[in-house]
Amino acid sequence: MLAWLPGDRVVAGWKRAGTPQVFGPDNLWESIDGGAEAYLTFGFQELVVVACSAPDLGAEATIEVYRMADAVGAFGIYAQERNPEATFVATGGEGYTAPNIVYFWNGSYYVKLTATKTNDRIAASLLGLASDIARRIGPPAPMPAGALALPTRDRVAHSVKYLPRDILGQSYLANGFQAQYRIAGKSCRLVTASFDSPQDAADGFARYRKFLGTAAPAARKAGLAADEAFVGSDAFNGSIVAARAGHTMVVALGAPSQQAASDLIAAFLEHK
Amino acid sequence: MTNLSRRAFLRVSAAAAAASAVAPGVVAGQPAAGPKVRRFKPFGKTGWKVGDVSGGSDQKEPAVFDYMFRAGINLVDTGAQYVGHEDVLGQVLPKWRDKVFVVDKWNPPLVTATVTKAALLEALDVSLKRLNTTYIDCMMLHSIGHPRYGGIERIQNPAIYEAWDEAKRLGKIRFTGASSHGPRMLDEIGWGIDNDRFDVILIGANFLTHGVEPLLKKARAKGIATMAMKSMTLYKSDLNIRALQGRQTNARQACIKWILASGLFDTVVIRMPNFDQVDEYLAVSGTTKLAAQDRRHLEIVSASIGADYCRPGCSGCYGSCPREVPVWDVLRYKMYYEHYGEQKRAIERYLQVPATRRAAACGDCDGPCERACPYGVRVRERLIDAHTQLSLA
Repeated sequence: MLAWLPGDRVVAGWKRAGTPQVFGPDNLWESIDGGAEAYLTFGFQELVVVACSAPDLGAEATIEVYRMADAVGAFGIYAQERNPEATFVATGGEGYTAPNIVYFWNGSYYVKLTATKTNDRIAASLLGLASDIARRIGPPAPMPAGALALPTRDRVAHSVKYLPRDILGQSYLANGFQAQYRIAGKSCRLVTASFDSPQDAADGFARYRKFLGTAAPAARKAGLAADEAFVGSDAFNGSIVAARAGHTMVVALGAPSQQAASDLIAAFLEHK
Repeated sequence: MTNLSRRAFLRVSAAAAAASAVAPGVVAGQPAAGPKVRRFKPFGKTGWKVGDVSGGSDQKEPAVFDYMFRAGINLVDTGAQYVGHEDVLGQVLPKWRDKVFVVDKWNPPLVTATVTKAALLEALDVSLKRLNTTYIDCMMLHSIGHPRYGGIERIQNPAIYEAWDEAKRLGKIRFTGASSHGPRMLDEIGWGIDNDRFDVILIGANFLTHGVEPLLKKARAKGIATMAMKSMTLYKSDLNIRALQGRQTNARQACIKWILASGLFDTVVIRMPNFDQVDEYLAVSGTTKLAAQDRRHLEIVSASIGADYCRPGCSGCYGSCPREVPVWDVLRYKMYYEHYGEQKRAIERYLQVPATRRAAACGDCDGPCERACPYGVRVRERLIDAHTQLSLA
């Protein structure tokens, strides 16, 4: 990772200003006390922190490169921290800037650049440095496949997240995605979870239905073996429509109507 | 579309909708006869009556917060660095604002010996926006007492206290405090108490720690509210203690019961990322006395790791080695090797220690590190073991 960062060579006007620090899963908390658990959940492997300076600009910055176990985890932790109101840039898979920062993900890496002060020149230079690092990591990474299946119509921009575990607060739901939607003026969301097998999915689906206290029997149509759906509700989200197809479960929460929820789910199932 | 056509799906969901019925009297996501907070205590001089079990970080589902608050949890601990935690809480907080005491924290690297009042207030505003509220009940300095973020001069920066005063004047915060589980925890929390800087303290403690009692006594004498964290860090790794097979839940609950029964703290902060864990931990709320079985579980854990486990907030071995072996770090690498399944990384970390400061020379030393440990950890023996294990690369 150090090869991508300013070191012996100057990158976009920035040079290294100190000894790189390396953190692993064991001591990540020393770098981000309180936040380390979340990173570990997303498959954190290693963090390299490098201090840099741009003498011509009188600027200093810190670069943090988080290596995750895979691209889904890198996207996941990026999206978890993402500020939807930021200015988004075409850096790596996706990135954004705020006055003194550039954050992006690419491949299995989540990269954060933070300047100690800013002005237009520093901001432009920091973005140039970020772009250089992103290119060295590799070509822009596509969104994870599970995220691409989420319907785009009515979707709130930059709202897609990866959920590695405890989906919907359920200890048995893992490895899914979530997106926010705005339909008929109402906020709602679509959440997915993946299982190793259709049987595991059926078990998880039944457990979730039991949690909701929904007494509806699994509706089944001829030719739709192992597929099922139900309508329920909970105290926080209100109306809930859930479906299972194969090893995937998909849930629409808080939609303005059952029809709207069903449309969202159907659109997902068409593309998954 | 796999297995289920769009039209078929709509038929299925319509059929399910027609047949659906929620059991009478049961509202999903709402504890009915389930676990509840059973004991509330005065929270220092804040005027709040806090539940004995409180919510920590790591919820990514807003409905879990809602469930916690319905069950009576009335304090939640969050922080700017808790990766999206403030945002998720902010989705729920407006509904519960006057019923929940919010503890928030600045990002530790922000709070330096030179940070300005303006920078701190700006960060506070960012947190307020994320939390979807106009005020925070207690704004804390986070992770004080850890050398990584600097020495005590960090929390002696007057800008911190000017920012707190200004934020109180503007109605953005009500109380102030600090959290710590680092090796200088007692020193720096103690400084804040002595200098009347904190209304609330949050410190690392569990049934294997001791030595915090004088600090807590001093805090209580000044009406400072006390919160415990890291009460279950023993379970961070899967300890795989054979005698506890099938009883891990009981053992985890026993750890929390110990804190509750000790009476040392007003509340204990616990990470509860899902509904099951809310139920698991709330089941012990109201505990005032340990049962014989709880003691047995704790004895098993203690016997298994008590002589190996470095406690949060301890600095006993710091600077004790005449040969400058980084005792605390080496013991940590050994623990990762043995309990975390991180053998390769542990070896890599150890090899980063300069050769002259590794534990190779511990064999002919009389072990001042071991004498310095207040917990009787077999420090010297473990250092020698560590050198053997971690030098095999």
